[in-house]
Amino acid sequence: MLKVNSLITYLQDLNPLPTYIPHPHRLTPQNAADIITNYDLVLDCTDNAATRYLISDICVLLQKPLVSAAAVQKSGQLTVLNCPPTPQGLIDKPYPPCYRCCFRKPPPPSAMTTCGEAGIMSTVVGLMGVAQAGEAIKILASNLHLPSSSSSSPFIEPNLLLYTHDLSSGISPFTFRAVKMGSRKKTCFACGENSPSTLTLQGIKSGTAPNYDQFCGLNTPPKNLLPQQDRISPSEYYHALEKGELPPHLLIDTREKEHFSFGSIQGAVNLPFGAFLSKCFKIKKSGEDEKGDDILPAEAKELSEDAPIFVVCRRGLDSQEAVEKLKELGVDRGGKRKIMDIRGGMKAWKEEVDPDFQFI
Amino acid sequence: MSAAQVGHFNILYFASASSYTMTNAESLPAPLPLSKLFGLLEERYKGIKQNVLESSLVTVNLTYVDVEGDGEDMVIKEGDEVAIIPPVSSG
Repeated sequence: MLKVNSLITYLQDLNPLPTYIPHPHRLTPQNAADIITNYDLVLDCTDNAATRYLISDICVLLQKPLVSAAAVQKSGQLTVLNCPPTPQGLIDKPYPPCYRCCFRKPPPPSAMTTCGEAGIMSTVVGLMGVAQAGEAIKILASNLHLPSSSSSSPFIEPNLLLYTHDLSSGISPFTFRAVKMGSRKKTCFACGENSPSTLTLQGIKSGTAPNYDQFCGLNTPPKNLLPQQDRISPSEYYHALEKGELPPHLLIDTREKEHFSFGSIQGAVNLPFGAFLSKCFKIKKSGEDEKGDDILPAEAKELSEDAPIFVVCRRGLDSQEAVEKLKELGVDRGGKRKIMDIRGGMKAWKEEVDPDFQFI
Repeated sequence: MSAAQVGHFNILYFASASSYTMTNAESLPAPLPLSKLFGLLEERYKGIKQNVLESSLVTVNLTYVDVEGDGEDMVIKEGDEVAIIPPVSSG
């Protein structure tokens, strides 16, 4: 059953009075305007940056207010954008901001994780959802969804609500915090001074101006940072291991410990990439005080000095960087010790070697 | 977190900013021109500019500041609270 139908079934049970209209397709640059134009208010509950930018842009162009809520792991964010809706390009006085005014560009793809990958505290997403519904009711009940005729309505500065379900949070545990978002940015690509020439419905529909996937770094071919001889495919590694062709070696898995705990290649040692990078940096900064080998996990001490090192990660990029860093630190003893990347990470391991592996 | 030490400001790291710095908050020397903030953090946490800061929202005393635009001439003062807020895009 499609999620959208499952949701409607549940909602009808909860409240049979409203009319629920399913749109059983993915929201795309081609269909977004035709769908959104039929509604007065949009609630963004989507799970990826490309769709968030698309929705915000369409809301600017069609003059729809947007209540944007997001949550991942232990963090939630909620804000009301483009409300009351104001024509694109006006900057003669303060007007409500859009999503791009707040977040000019998306994080690099490696830094973006979905709830499916990174996990989510159900209370965080529940809280953000209820707060989002509350904002939506307020907007509709006070007619703030109606496009403002530029000069009449006063500017209402929106807040961005942050919620952190983190006992060790910098502020205090159980924290709500609201920050003032300011007004529309003069230089904003979607709603600023020159935006009517940079963002149009036709441009979005054509899929090129903007190209959301490209903007968010999606669908880019896998990066190859390392030369061929420093890489081995999961199946090559597996078969060499099975045939006993590999000498005793160290296998480092650079995924986060949560991912590692769901399953890993036999014998792998977990060294999360973030911690790995900071440790590298610390060693480089210390000059002669710390040796490059200090970066390696304790298991390395049980192996010979020149025992090969293999590195694997989730999708194959962090592991290549890790191999580069290890070489920079001289762990390869000027080429005497082999350090290799397992190409394509655990994703490729699942495809090539172990279809039962739980890839998340 | 408690009030900043004399001659310092507090900086709070949210979400991926806190995973990158492996801390939720710290105290840094003030005054500091806002335009120098990213450079200072990059020195302390290599790669943070590209991976976190450039896509984050920055606030000073709970108010959005435009690091690369209008806020360029601003100075972070002793006792200020700066926050690095990366977007959350999952749902």
